[in-house]
Formats: sequence, structure tokens, C-alpha cells
Amino acid sequence: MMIEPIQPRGHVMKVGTVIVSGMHSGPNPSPGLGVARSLKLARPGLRIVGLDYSSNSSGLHTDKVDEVLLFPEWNEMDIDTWVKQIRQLLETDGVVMIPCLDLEVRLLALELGNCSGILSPSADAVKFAGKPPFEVAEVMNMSVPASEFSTDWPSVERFTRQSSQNVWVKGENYEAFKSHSSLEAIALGNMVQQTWGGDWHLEEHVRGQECGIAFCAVKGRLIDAVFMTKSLQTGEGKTWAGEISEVPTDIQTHLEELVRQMEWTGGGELELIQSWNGEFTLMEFNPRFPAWIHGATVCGANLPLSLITGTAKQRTKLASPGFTRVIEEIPVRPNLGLSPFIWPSGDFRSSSGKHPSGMPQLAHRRLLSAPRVSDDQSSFSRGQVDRDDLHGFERLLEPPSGKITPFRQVLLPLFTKKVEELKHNVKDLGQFVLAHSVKTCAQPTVLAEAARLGMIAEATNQAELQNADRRGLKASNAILNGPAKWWPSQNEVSCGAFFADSVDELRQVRQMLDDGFRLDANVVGIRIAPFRTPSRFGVDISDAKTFFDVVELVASISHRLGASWGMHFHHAESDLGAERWQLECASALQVADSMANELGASPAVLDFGGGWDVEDMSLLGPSLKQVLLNGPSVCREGAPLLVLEPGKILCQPSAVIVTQVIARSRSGGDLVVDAALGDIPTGPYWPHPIALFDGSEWVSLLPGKDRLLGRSCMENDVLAKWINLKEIRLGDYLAVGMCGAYDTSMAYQFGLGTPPQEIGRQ
Amino acid sequence: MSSKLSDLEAIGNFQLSSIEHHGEICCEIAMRQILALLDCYGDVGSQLAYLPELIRWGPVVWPIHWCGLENSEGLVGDCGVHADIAARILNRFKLSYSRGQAVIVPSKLVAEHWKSSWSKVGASDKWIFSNFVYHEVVHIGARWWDPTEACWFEGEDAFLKAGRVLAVRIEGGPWKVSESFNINLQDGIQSSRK
Repeated sequence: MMIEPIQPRGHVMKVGTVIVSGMHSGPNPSPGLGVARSLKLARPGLRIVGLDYSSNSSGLHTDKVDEVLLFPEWNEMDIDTWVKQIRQLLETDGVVMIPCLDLEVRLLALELGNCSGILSPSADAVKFAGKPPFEVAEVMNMSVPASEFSTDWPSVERFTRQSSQNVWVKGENYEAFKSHSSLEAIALGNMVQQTWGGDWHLEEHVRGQECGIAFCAVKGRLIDAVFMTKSLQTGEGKTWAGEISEVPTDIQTHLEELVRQMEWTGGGELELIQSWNGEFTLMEFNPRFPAWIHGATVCGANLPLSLITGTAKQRTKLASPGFTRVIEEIPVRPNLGLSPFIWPSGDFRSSSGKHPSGMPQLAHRRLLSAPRVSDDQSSFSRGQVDRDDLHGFERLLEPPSGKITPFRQVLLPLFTKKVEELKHNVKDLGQFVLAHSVKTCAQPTVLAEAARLGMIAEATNQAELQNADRRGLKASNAILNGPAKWWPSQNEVSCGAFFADSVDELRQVRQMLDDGFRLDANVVGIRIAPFRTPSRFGVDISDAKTFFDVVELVASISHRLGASWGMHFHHAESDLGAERWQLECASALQVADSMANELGASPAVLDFGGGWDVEDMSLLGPSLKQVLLNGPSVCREGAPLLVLEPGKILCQPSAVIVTQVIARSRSGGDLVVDAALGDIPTGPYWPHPIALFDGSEWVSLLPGKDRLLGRSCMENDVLAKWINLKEIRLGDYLAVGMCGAYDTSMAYQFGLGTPPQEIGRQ
Repeated sequence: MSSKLSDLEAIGNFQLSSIEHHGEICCEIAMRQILALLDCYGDVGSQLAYLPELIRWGPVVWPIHWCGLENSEGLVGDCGVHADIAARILNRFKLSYSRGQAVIVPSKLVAEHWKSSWSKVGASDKWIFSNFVYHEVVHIGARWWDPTEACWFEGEDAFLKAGRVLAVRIEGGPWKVSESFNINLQDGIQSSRK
């Protein structure tokens, strides 16, 4: 059977045979089988040749395929031979090809761009439709998700933290994984790179309804398009059922302009997310039909047929509102068979079963693009660092010459600077007091400076409270938090406020008072647990009994002490990001209004805690402002004293570990220094800035692929990773910045042959 | 058809592949390194499975020495290399086995790619015939093992990734030929669905 009439590059030709590639139909299907089924549905006599790169491509075994063409797997492919063979296949009159694999389409565009029988876009059009599809989005008048292309640790850490909805790790060639942390994102990015070759980037998750547009065009003329809204998805997010409708008129107009500009030929797909208010975000633009294309056909919009005829059947109404998939077992072709089970060498199966068309192997051959950034481009170079990017410690740090390493240098001016910066940022928010978290940094000089700057102490036990008091942070003004605030046991405690961590703790305090415990506190309060984020701390007031228990206990204890009442929220902003911290904080504190009603008084103190990331200083003031605006009305009407205890944001920059290179590791790039994990306990978990003393000044090191290893014989003694240490020599001095918070308070002696610090009192 | 049968007879004269050793430290280190890497995968199945992951299938110029298996793209070897090393693995586990030979009919588009790749590095393509290719395998117990694809197969008529198995034989033994030998040679495996 021959089909009239048009051919993509201009001349009219009757189509008798259609070669369709990408025939696998599994949980993550390619579009080829859908294209074949659509063509056969409309033109049963049309000859369909299924083309693929493995006999395990399931669609090759269906009765929609009249002939099978198997190429070798991509790692065995000789590209010149492939090009020659494709050209030969298309030499016969009436034969056209609809390629249905992304990377294959791109390679065909590069290698066979002028071949008239291939119904797919040109190399220029494909380039226009890169990942992410910025240019396409602009023409379509749609937004794209926020993205980050720098995959160095600090950039990934920052983007992940500031993305309130988690992030997606996306490969340049294929694949997307959801990630919740920077370390997870980098691990996933490396896995994508290993599987698919090419680079990877991060995209912010966009909430909303997933939908898509399938279209076909010939020489820049839009032939047909349909809109699909996902109803059911597989675990991988692939469409299983969807509603089909006509493309909204305004989008259709932009789509016509898009294909005109790109002179598009072939099928295409826009993957979209529609927000609650109806706006679209363009997630992907694919240079081939979607895998659900036959779903549109059964609803009355046969785009594969429209593509090879060059005309669309006029529709007044769709035949069905949508489609769904079913699973069907079919016999394999007796003369094609199936490849046998490949025996696994490890615990996990290779990806060949997941992608029988072998696209990862094609991607690995790097036939399509050069790496975005080579390692050389990010190599270390003295003097090229933007001074504004520095964290400040390099300019304050003294030359290391003559000093015994490793040593910690406290940089008090950086602490002072951060406190002043914070005061400035929150000065318009109301009556506030800054508290220094003693557990975060108990350095005597820092405690004394905090006192000089008018701060109060936030302590989590009696030892911290007494230590802070000795350094000038008066216990009588201090805040007591956490579940162990009364430990070690005392007969008498004086503090400014305490916030109970549980209902049981309130009961315990009342019992202690009954037993003669002398407590002097101006404020009795509770710490409220966050709603969405799991936490081991705080009171979960989600039932009436707990609420009334809390009210009764707070009323009782505050009455006995002659104290007011208060409320505290605490969760690490460095984990949540500013936006989620603000939402959690405002929602958790809402209960303050009900408590105020029951207690007959507004809270005297609202205490905001949770370690803020140093880079988020500019977000702290606006976040608090939003909490005061959207939180309980007592925030605005009661004029409570606001206590801010943002933890490491103030003290983290205030210490540096200076160390010396003592060995080069086996791998060549990695270096061993005389500091160890005990000196920088959080080294493996977040990116510390590192500087080199070049003989005259400290200069920052740039991202790379090397690791800074600690001196101890422990596999996990990795002080920093993904930095460029290529030009560092034995004996060089390095400074690890941002060690003023937990890297100071949690530091321990290890690997020096010293006896353990005994615990327990005689 | 007779010319195809003569091709099969020609395959019968093929010698089983054996990796050569220079008798010098170069080959000793290379061989020990490869066997040690395989040793990391404890059991025999895992070691045999890891073999084609460790040594990627590709063209080599025979005679090949242990020290010549590594090129700029890593370790590369053909089915002869895989079969020889598989035999060493089986020896180390003291498993009874025989080396074997197979005739495979690949997809009609595939052989040209192999011919081209072998030719580009100056390797002999005499294992590629007009309608089928020569392949080296191992017979373990009552089953056949393909050391290049890391899979069991049932002998003649089985399907491998490389194509359909037309004939197999244990080293020095008679060929076991598929009943559809003639049909397969004529049509290849791409014939239309009837």
C-alpha cells in the first residue's frame, strides 16, 4: 500500500514503507511501537519495518511489525557503516524513517541531515532544543525550572538548600533523579554521568499537574498537535493513562511559531507542568513523538499518520476523552528469539535490561557533544579568584611560617562582623535579643565577645550554662533548651527562660519544684515540634489532651515561679532552607494564639532557633518578617520579646584549621595533611573553603576532583573533597575555613597516642 | 549452499585461541593483575560474569600476549581471549569443562560493522563469513557457556545477543548442527513474519 503524498524536504513521494526505531515497550517505553500501531490502525497495508539495537526490544515481536532490522549494540557500532546502511535503506522509493530515540535522532541529524527520507528535525533544530530548553520556553512564552549547572560541591549545596521542594538531578543526555541533599545529588549526578556520559545539572522541583503536548510538523509547518494530561504514572513517572484534549489556542499559536522558527520536521513533545493557577513550566522538549502517542491516536488524533501524509484529519470532536495502558504478553518471533539472561557479576543488574535500545552506550561514545566544562578549565590558578567570593578568613589569617601544625586560629573579627550584620538585618522587626548557642561554639574568646556584644547565652545543659556564665554571659539571662537542660543535677538554677522539650519534662519540673528544687526563671515555655519535618525534639500539640496538659502545666509552673510564658521553634535552616524553615516556623507557632486564650496572656517571649547557613544571612531578616506576618496573631498584637538564636551563622567563620601537606596519596591528586577528622569533624559532610599559603598570601582553592585526606588511618578521614589540589606540593600550608562552629565544639583528640579523656566523676 | 557448507568445514580447522606469554615480567604482571581482579569476585559465576566487563569485547591482533591486552581504551579481547581466560577460571575452581566452538548467524546488518571495526585496527576478520561467524565458547557439565556474553545457552538453535547459534561442537568433537541450518543460512534472522 502506498500513501500520498508529501515528503519532508519538499518533493512529493508516495510512502509504502515506514522504518520505525525505538521499539521497546516496557515500563519506560520508547515511542516506536506506538507509532507503528498508529500507522497500522489507519493503513493496515502499510509496510512497517521495526529497527532497533537489541532483539530484547519488545515491540519488535509484535504483529504490527512486518520486518525487523537489528543493528549491533552501540558499543559495537561502526558509525560509518551505520550511516551507509541507513542511507541504503532509504534509497528505495517510498521508504521513510521515523526515528524514535532521542540520541539516535540527534546523531541522525548530525550524520544524515540531508537525507530526505528521515522524518526528524535538522541538526540546528535539535541544537535549539537542548536541555534545559531555554530557547524553546522563550518562544512558547513559558517558564523553565530554576537550574544550576555548576556541579561543584558548594554550588550543589547552595542550590539544594535554597530549593524548598527538593531538586532533580538531570543528565545532559537522559535520566532524572529526585534528590534531597547535596551529597545525594552529587552521588546521583556521578551515577548519571557514569551511565549516560555527558554532564549533569540540577533543577528545582516544580509542583503541579504533569501534562504534555505531542506534535508533528513538516518543514516548519505544524501539521497537528494534541494535549495530554497525565492521570496515572509508573513509578518512574512515565505516563500510564492520560486525558487527551485539543491544545489551547494560545499555546497552539506559540507552537506554530516555534516549529516555524526551527523549520521543524518530524514528531516532537513538550513535557509540561501546569501550576495551580494554570501557568505552564516547560520541563523537557523532545525531538520525537512521546511514548503515549498511540493513546492520542485511539482518541482520534493520529499524529504519525499526519506526519507521513503531511495533512491532519479534521476533528470536530475527539473519539474518546483519554487512554489507558494494559499489559499484554505476546510470543516472541521464532526467528528472532530473545537474548539469554546475562549473568550478573555483582549484586545489581546492569542497565542493559532497562534500555534495550542501548542509548547509554551511544551517549558514552560522545558522538553528540563535547563536555560542558573540562577539568582543566577549573584548574587552580593563583590570582584569578574573585575576592568578593572569599569568605574573609584569607585576609585575616596570619602567615603560618614557623608554627607547628595543625593548629586552630580563632578569627574573632569575623564573629563580630556577623553579629553586627545580623543586628542590622533584623533591626526593624521589633524588640529582639540575640542569643549565642553555647553548644555551637564554646570558645572562651567567642563567649566573651558575645557577652561584650550584648548577647545572651542559649545553653542545653548546666555545664554549658555555667561555662557561659564564667565568660560573662549571665546565667540569669540565659535561655535553657533541649531535653537535658537540668543535667548535671543541681539544687538551684537561675535562668532567663526555659523551654520544655516535652510534656513529661514539664511534669518533671513541677515534681522537682515539689521536691525542693529552687528555680528562678522569668519565662516558662515549650518548644513546639515542626509539623512536616520529622524531629526528635519539641512538643507535638496535635491533640486536645496534649494541648490542655501543656496549658495546665505551663500555667501551674509559671504561677509558682511568678513567671510569664513563652514559645520556642527550633530546626536547622541549613537543612530545611530558608523558605521551608519559615513555613515550618510560622505553622508550628500558630498554637500560640490558642495558648494565649487559655492562659489569658500573650507570650512574653518568642524564641526562634535553628542553625542558619552562613550564606543565608540575607534571607534571615525577610524570613523572620514573614513568620511575624503569617504566624500567630500574638506576634503582631502581643509585642513579645523576640529571641534570635541562629547558631552557626554567627560563629562558623570565626575559626580556621591550618595544616600542612605531608604526603601525596596513591591516586596522585589526593593529598594527606597533618590534620585529621578529629580536628575538622564535619569535613566530610559539607563543603569547607580551603586556601593555600603561596609564600606571601592565602589564596582560595577552586573546585576539582581531588580529596584532602586526614592523617589518621581511617577510611572516612576525608577532610574535603571535590577540590583542585593539582599544584599543591609537599610541605605546603593549607587553611580549612569555616571551622568556628561544630568543627570547634565537636573536635576531639584522635590518633596522637594520648589516653582517652575519661568520662564520669570520681 | 555448498559454499556455505565449505565455510563450516573451514571453521572446523580453526584452532582454539590461547593467549601467549612472553616469558618475561611484562606478561607475568599483566596476567597476574587480570587474574587477581577476577579473584575479587569470589564465586565462579561472578568471575565468569565479570570477565567481559573487565575485558571489553573488541578486535585484537593474534597472536596476542597478556601484556598486549590493554590499549588506550582499557582491556580489550575477542571471544578467543574470553574463552581462554574463562578456561583458566574454571581450572582454578577445578571444574570439569571443555573448550568449544560455535557458528552463529548474526543479524544481516551486524557483520559489516564487526568487519569494519576489525579492519580499522588491522585485526584479521577471517572469523566473519558471508552468512555466519565463528565464536569460541565453553562446555560446562551438560550446558554451554558463552564467555563473551556471560550467559548459559542450550547449544545449537539457541539465541545469543550476537545472533542465532547454528552449530556447536566440543573441542575435537563432531558438530551439532541446527535442523534449520539451511533455512537460517538462506534467510538470516530478519525474515518477515510469515
